[in-house]
Amino acid sequence: MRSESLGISTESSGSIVFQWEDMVEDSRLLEIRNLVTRFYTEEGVVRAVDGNSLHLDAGETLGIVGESGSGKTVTALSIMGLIENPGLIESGSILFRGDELLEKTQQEMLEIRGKEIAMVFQDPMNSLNPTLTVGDQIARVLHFHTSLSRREKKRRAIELLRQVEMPEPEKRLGNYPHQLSGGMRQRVLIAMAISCNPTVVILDEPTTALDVTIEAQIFELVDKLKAQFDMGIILITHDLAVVANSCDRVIVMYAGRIVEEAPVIDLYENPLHPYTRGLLNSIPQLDKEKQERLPSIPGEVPELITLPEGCNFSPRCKYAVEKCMHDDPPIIKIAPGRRLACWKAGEFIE
Amino acid sequence: MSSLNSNDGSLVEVIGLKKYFPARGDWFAQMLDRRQIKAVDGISFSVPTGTTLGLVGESGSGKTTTGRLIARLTKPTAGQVRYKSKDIAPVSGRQLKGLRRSVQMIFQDPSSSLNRRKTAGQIVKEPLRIHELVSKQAMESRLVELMEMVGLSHHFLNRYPHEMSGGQRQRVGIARALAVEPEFVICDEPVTALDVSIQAQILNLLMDLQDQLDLTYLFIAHDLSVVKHVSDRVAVMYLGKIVEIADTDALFSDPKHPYSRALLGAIPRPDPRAGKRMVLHGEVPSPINPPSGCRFHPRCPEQIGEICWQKEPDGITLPNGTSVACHLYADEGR
Amino acid sequence: MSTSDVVTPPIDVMTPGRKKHRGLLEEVWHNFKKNRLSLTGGVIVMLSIVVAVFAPILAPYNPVEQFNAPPGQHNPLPPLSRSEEGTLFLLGSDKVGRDILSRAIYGCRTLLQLAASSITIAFVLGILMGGVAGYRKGSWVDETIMRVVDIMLSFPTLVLAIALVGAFGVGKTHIGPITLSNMFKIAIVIAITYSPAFARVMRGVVLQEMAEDYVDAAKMSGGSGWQILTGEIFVNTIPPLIVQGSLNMATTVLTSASLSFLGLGLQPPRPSLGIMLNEARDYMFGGAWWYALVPGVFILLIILGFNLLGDGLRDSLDPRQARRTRL
Repeated sequence: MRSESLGISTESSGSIVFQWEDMVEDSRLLEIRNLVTRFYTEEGVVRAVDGNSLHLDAGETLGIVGESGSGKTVTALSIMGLIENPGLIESGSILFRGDELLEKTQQEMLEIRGKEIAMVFQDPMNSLNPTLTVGDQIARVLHFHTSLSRREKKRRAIELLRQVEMPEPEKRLGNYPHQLSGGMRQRVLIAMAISCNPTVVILDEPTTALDVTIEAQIFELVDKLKAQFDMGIILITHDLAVVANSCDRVIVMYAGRIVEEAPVIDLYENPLHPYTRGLLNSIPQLDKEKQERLPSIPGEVPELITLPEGCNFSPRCKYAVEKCMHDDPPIIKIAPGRRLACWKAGEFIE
Repeated sequence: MSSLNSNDGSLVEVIGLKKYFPARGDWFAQMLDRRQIKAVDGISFSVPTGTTLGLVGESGSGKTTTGRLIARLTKPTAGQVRYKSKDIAPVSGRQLKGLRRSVQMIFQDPSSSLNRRKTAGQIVKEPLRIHELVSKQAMESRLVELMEMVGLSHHFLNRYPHEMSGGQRQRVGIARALAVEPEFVICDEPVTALDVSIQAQILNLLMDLQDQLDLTYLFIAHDLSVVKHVSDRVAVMYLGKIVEIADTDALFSDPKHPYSRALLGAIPRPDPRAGKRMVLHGEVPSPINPPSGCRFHPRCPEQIGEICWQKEPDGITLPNGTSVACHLYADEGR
Repeated sequence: MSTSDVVTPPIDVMTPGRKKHRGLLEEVWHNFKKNRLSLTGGVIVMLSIVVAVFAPILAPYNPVEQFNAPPGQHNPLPPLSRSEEGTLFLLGSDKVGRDILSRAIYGCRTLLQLAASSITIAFVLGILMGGVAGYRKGSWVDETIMRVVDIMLSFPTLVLAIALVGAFGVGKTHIGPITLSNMFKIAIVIAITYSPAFARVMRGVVLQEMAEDYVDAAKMSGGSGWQILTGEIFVNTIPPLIVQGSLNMATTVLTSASLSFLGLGLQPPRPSLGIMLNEARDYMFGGAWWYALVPGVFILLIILGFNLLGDGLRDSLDPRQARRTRL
């Protein structure tokens, strides 16, 4: 077995026992081990997150890239404690500064959510209450987690809007969400997310609904805030270009599994997993010469109810061999900060 | 930019096209509030036979309305849309039905553009039935042929939209558009709603079909990388106006209009060493009351003075064939 | 293992199993059977339909046949008593010696006939008005239809129905060679009062569907307005209309019964639950509790059945909206 030559042991049954070798340092904000989240629907069991481990350090931006059904959003919702029936976190552990989040009560999670870990969702229109003004919505978040007086809350709300570079913050305080543009709504959500100085902010496709020029503005803002508050950021997106611009470390997910993890520069200069390679090749790029045909990945993203046997990517993989069709590849550490889940790993590392 | 329209090889020509919508929905409110949304405000361009014109812009630029005007899904307020030198803006009834055999459209969201209570077969059959193009006996084989053309097996004929993936649905949408054997196809953000790994498949399919069937495309998208990949020529829209039309290579190597530059600079590149994205400040103003002079002047980083907010720039054709509407180039026109 | 076993199957082979398609009826039944309350409603409705259809078999006597009370007693007779002729009044007799059970069974029949025919007429009227208004949104056609609808909806249903009966008169009407039966006239009256509700629902659904791209796609395919409305949009408007129909069925039953009760609906001696209630009024304080109770319970059960059924249908036809209303 090639994996053995790399010094990794795996159980023969195909299930993975991941040994966490790194020391848990002080700077480690979040650590997820072997997380399994499933949804029990009428059609069958949806294996949304299937035994993934990852971590986030203070001051870093971790990108999680994947297509629809890759499990990236469910991972975030699991961290936030927002998995609801018919969903269930089956096993694993989510440590926030060494504290097990999965053992927290609903009440304790309310304290953590928003104050310690905040999330910004994809659709700013659906995440804001249409019947409350911007000022009231920010004040409500402050009300949950602080004991500021009314006047102080208003002052803080203005200050927050100024921090997210909202034009005319005093005036915007009295606006309703529908009176704002998409970019401004996303700024309000970011203001709400940072209102209690959280240590971790999860951004779930924060700019998918926005135009490029507005997207650039939002990411400029996120970078600025990150430097200012020393937060750890998890950026969830389907857009490889966005990740390249704003992340330090990248995790690539496919059909509920992490297939590759790498520091951002390594990932783009030397992508190893066939899926990552395929994805990077298939997107049209401005800097490249125009090609006649894009080298596309054949086939479709699998349904999480009827996942293929063996490696989830094997039916679409041009490197797939017999073994890939039968056995799940474990995710193994191949270099400092680099992990890969592929039976052909040995051939790709040169 | 009228100088562009003298081209005789053009399949589609748009001249001074305008579309204003009332700012309010029902007629009673319209009596009180006569303001108008100037979605498309006097644009001209042409699409030569067999080529692809890319149309890019941010939301609110009017690119989708332009597509719908050319498809005659809505009537222009003013201006002409010429198909094979004939103005199609005023046609209706039987003539319009005839036009539908030549001009087709591929929609953005395949889950919305397919009727959820119909099978793929019923959906693709519809245009064939309406135009009575195929006899009953030949129908089945024609449907199979169309499905195979877009890379789907005949098994898909009996599937309902929600039994298919996004990419497969979009293929059905393409098959429906091609059923009438059109010459001109308007692709309105055809890959925006699809997964990244599926986008390339659909783009390849569209380009293959163009070669096989000699199609002419108007390709509408907000993603410049995609537009660069498929287009021969690109028009950049901002707030109802075309600010620049250029050959694809010229636009991407040397964009002329400050807005084109900003748009190109703002695109994230899948390369961590690419450096910071250019940030264009401000937001697209309301099309109800667009800025005076050049519509881009409030956000323009390269303003040259009073003329920018006083005078609307005319289209200037530069020696390399690029047409740009900006006062920066006032002296360079041919 | 060598790289020579590279496998790249064609698209079709790898097609994943997406959610299975179910036909409309299948889908409704699939969701419907999970809800016990709506199943109960369905059973009640089925029973009342059976009673209505087989009334001649189920009713022990002719509903208009009058029996004499035994000497020393007088009608109405309480349940389980016998007439002079020896016939058994299972649920008692009315003021002129007719069997209440038989009258209630036939009353159930006329009530359902009336409600069903008015709902059908209201359905057709509503779909036409709402469909045209929705398809021509913002035009004067839309404005005219919807303002008429608004005016009609601003009347209390019963008041409007009484006014219409007043205008049409009670009894048969001859329009040239056509004779309208009293029952048909009342059905039309009720239909007119309920059609605005259908028109509104229909218009709303049509507007919603018009925003979908498949309508534009159908225009691009060369379909005419009428073809698109009937061939594309209509199939998608059926589920919400069925929900509206079954929910309105209950109130239609109530309106039909109320009109009879007020003497403006079906005319005696025709057996009608409303008329029975009306007659019972005079005996309420004379101790003849069964006289009002029997038709009352019949009406209650029918309305309850349709309400439960309607709720169940709404939940199973539009799971999204059901979840919203439950929250």
